[in-house]
Amino acid sequence: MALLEIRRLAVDFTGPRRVRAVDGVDLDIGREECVAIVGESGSGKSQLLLACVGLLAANGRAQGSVRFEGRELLGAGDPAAAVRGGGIGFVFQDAGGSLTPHLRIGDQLAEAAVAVRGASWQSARADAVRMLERVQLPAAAQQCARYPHELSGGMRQRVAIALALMPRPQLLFADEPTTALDVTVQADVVALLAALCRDLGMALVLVTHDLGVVASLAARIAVMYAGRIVELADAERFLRQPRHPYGAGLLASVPTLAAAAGPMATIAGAPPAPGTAFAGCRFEPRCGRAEARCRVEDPALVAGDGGLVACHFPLDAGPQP
Amino acid sequence: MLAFIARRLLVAIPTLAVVVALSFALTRAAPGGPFDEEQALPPEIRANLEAAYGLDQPAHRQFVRYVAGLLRGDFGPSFRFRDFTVTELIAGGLPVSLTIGLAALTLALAVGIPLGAGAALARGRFLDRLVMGLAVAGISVPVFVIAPFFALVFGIWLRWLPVAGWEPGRATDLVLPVATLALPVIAYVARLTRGSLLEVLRAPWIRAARARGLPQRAVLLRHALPAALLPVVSYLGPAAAAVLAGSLVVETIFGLPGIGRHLVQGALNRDYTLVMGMVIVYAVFMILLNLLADLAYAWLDPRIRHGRRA
Repeated sequence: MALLEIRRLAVDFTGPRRVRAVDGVDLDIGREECVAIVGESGSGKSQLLLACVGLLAANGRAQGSVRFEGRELLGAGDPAAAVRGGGIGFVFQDAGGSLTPHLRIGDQLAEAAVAVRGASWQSARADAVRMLERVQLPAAAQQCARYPHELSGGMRQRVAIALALMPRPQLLFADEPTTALDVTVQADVVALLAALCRDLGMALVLVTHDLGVVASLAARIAVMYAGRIVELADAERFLRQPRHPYGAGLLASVPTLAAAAGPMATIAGAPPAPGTAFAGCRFEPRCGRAEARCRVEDPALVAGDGGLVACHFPLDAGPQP
Repeated sequence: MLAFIARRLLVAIPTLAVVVALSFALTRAAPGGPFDEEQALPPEIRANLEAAYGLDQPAHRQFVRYVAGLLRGDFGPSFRFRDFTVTELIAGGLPVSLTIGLAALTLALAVGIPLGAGAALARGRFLDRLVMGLAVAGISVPVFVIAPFFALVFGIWLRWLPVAGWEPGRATDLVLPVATLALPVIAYVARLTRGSLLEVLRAPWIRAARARGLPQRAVLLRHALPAALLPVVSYLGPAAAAVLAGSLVVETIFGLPGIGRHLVQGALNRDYTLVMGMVIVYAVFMILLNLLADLAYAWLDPRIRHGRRA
């Protein structure tokens, strides 16, 4: 049994218009596994994670099933509350924003251990210092007495990671944890996350735009487009040869030093506006390989060549000619 | 911290100087004088009185004399309460006014904050609508309507509380005045708390606190509420002003021997020294409450405590 089992998960937002942000996602996360979710902004990556832990915005509703260690997390009465923190930790994109501004860092860290694990305040405070050392925050003991605004962005992100780890989760959701940081710090934080997962035996779901991050960290990659997973594959296979045209486009648009002189490769067109209705393949309007069938028939996510792909005309799995 | 308080108290000195100068000019500018009565006094008596109180001298002399008295802590004699100094009058009424004023402010915070927080948590539901409806009523209905209404309902119909009056040590005399004074402030504090808490609850760090698995109670009381109270604290200064203004009416209606009636009566009687003494006392009170509000603000928000805004 996988640690986390997501089945037919759909997320809708009500408002002036009903918007479906996530549209039927199936995904398993194994113990101590690292899975990356990639895709453009608005593809539903973050909402997928938020839905799992019951933290959708007030006008959001999740359908389908999410099980953590066999326990259903969706439904009435916020059943996900039981796994938040201790079961599933969450690191947000805006780390500075995820620290409470009027509480000292040490107090926030200790509180997370006390409230979720039932630790004593005394042991939790000692734990807080150890955790700050673990996320390589310089002068960890002194930092405990400081307030979030006294730290730099990179330090705040380290504290945010430490905070998420204090309840000792088995699974960590990291939603673009490096986007808000300086490029120089990004690599450090990614390496830190990888090391922490290894040391603590923690599974990791990493949402990112950065395929470079993916390459160094994830065992599997899920590519999301317009609320669906369009390709799910081993990271190594995907980076060598993506099968979905969208995945291939994402990979091709990663700037490389060799190609730095020419214009940057991009995927033509723009992602569909939220709430768009689809008849055929969601990617068809932007796809170079699209044919008549793609306009009318929605491709299912089917197995093939070490992964799943939702495309009528996937790219070849073998080395490209 | 102490340096901050000292600095603020130093800055208060020029503020008070302006208050003294302006109130002196305004009282003298008002038509009439302290010895104008329906029956005119014989000119010699009037001249004697004015000489006794120094009113025969030019205004700038009077001002210098008054300020010199103030610096010695002497508010001067009352022109109308013969044989009483203004200091005595204020000392007599201040404990009563302070008691009901501070009690009203305390009550307003103690009731308004939980009401507002409850309304925010029940957003859009019955409790929210009820509290906000009452809040609109509390803000809109003036004190001089609430006071007689309370006296009628609780004093005359229900006979639970005295309609008016004051005996030292009788707490029941205070209930209606304090409730009347507090009501508009409760309403305003509840609205402020509700709006502010709703905004704070949408903050990313609240979502992060919930994602950490903290229980709802801790998220609300430790993480959300202190931040949500900042606007309420800022409102303490204006709230104190509202209570002061209300106390003028409330003391009159409920027959309390506070200092509020001195201001009204003093102004009507052109009792120059009494009016000015009252204005100065109110100004000092306002400055102190604003200082208190700033201290509370710094206590709640470390970014201000550290002298910079993030």
